[in-house]
Amino acid sequence: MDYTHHGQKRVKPSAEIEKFRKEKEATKIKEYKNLVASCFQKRDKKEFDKDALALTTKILSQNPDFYSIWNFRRLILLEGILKECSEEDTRKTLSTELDFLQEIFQLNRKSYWIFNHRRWCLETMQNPDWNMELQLIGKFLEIDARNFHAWGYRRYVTSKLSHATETSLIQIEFDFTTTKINQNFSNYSAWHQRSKLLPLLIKEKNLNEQEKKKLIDKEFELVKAAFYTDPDDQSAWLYHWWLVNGQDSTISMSLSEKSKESSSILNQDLSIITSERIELLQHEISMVRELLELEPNSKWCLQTLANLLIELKRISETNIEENSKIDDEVITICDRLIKIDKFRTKRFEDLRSKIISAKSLVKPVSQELE
Amino acid sequence: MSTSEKPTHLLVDLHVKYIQSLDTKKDDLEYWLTEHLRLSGVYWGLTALDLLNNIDALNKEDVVKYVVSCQHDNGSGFGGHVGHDPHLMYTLYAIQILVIEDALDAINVDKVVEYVASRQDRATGAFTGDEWGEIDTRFSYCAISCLSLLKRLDAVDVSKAVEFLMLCKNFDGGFGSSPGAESHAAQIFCCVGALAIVNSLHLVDADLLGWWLCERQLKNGGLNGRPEKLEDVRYN
Repeated sequence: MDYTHHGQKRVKPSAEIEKFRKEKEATKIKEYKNLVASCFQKRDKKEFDKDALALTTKILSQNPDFYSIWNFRRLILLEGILKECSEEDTRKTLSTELDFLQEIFQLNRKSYWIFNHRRWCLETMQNPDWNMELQLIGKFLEIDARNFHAWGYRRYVTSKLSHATETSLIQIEFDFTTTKINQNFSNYSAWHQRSKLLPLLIKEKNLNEQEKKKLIDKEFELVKAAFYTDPDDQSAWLYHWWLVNGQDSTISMSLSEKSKESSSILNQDLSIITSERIELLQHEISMVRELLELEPNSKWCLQTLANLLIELKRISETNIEENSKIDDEVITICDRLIKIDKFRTKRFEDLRSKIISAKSLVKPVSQELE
Repeated sequence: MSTSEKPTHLLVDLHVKYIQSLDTKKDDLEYWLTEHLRLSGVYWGLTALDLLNNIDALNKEDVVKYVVSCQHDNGSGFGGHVGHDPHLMYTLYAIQILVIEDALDAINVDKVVEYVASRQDRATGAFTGDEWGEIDTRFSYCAISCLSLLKRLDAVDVSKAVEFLMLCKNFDGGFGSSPGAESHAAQIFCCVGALAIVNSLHLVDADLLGWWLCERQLKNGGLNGRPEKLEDVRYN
């Protein structure tokens, strides 16, 4: 028994069906090979005419990943068909081109080459209708909300539209991710997009600290809702960790024990930031603890709790006793994770041993003086 | 195949035969529809044979001759098959095959270097796949890997190339196809690979990315390319 790569069973056909299939296949092969040969002949002779365009249409309808044919098609348009065209005729021809692409999209919505050709058409046009493109790609994301080609194209279209109309679309696009996330909390593509838009939104709206906090608090509410819907869904947890770290992609995580920053430059600003951050971490720690009571075996809950505790210990001026308590709890969490998440035991063993060895280095001050 | 019949060791001979048979499936339309992937197919077949200690299962002379025939008329980049347009992706495959076969003398290396270098946008550091201008971190990897094999990284602006890759880094420590694009295991391979070649791994957030990557393994053991997606062997 054969299996396709997504695990569906493949059944062997009977000999008779197989013979019929082979004959049909041979005809198709002959037709296809002839098409390609004629098309390449046209290309080699530099015949950029309507017949050549028709040949590329036939080939691409069957094989939209044949990139050299797309290249030839653009040459036919640039060097032939569009060369002596009026502005109006150019527009018509390129609109027909967009219609053709729409048809091909029905076969494949994940082909780099189709999207490339579409971009080229729009960029070759005078005043393309970017709003129409936005609608089109909205439909794509309704059909498959995780299509990363479609998300990429959406970013491209919104940047073009925003430029053409001289209006910002940041809030609109941010709201779009809210809609997508509310439809399905595990839409990681939407969470990702949100991580790009949130800093832009804060910057654009020129929010003061209080307004910014209000906005971020709403983000924490959103991820919390996602955790309660499905605590094993990775999307919201990963986004949560980024939120906790101040939405800066350059801040690294601390699932590995890091030495405390040599922060002797304790000016007032920094201590305010630190105290707010401690408050935030404590708030999130109690949120995760609450959830953990309902979902005692949620590995994402446990991992996040460990991360939060480590981070709390790293930034706060806690005493040795408190530190030791945190260490013990993280070690307990690691022990549980080792049991729950069999595929990643080494990861947690590694963290556990790091904490234990760091712990053994810390001795009470009184002992050091002796 | 029932559980009891499952092989307990790697059936090397059968794998070798299978790879050899791939160029004989001319009765399948699929063979013709995938012509643009032929050169890539040779690379994957050859590396698999090499891993199986059977590199001679494909005739070296034929392989080299085929690769050279995929080079574009002006002696620059390589296409996916004879007569197909040049592209950075296929240029890397071609160079990889020629290096494996120790046959770089079959081509004019300087011309290839010139082609690869011409694909870099010196202002942003990004690379375009071909003259039509698609930008993608996959092409950064193709260019950097290719030039590194040819020992000619001096032909491009490496620090600009790195700068562009870092613009593609995301909140989860991963990398996307272009600035703003979602992290994807395959793009991460390309970006981290390119950074490794040019000694810039210190720019990778190893702990965060390591976390994200190891969460690609699903309960059934398979790997996915992005969170909350199905497994697919191409990510193994």
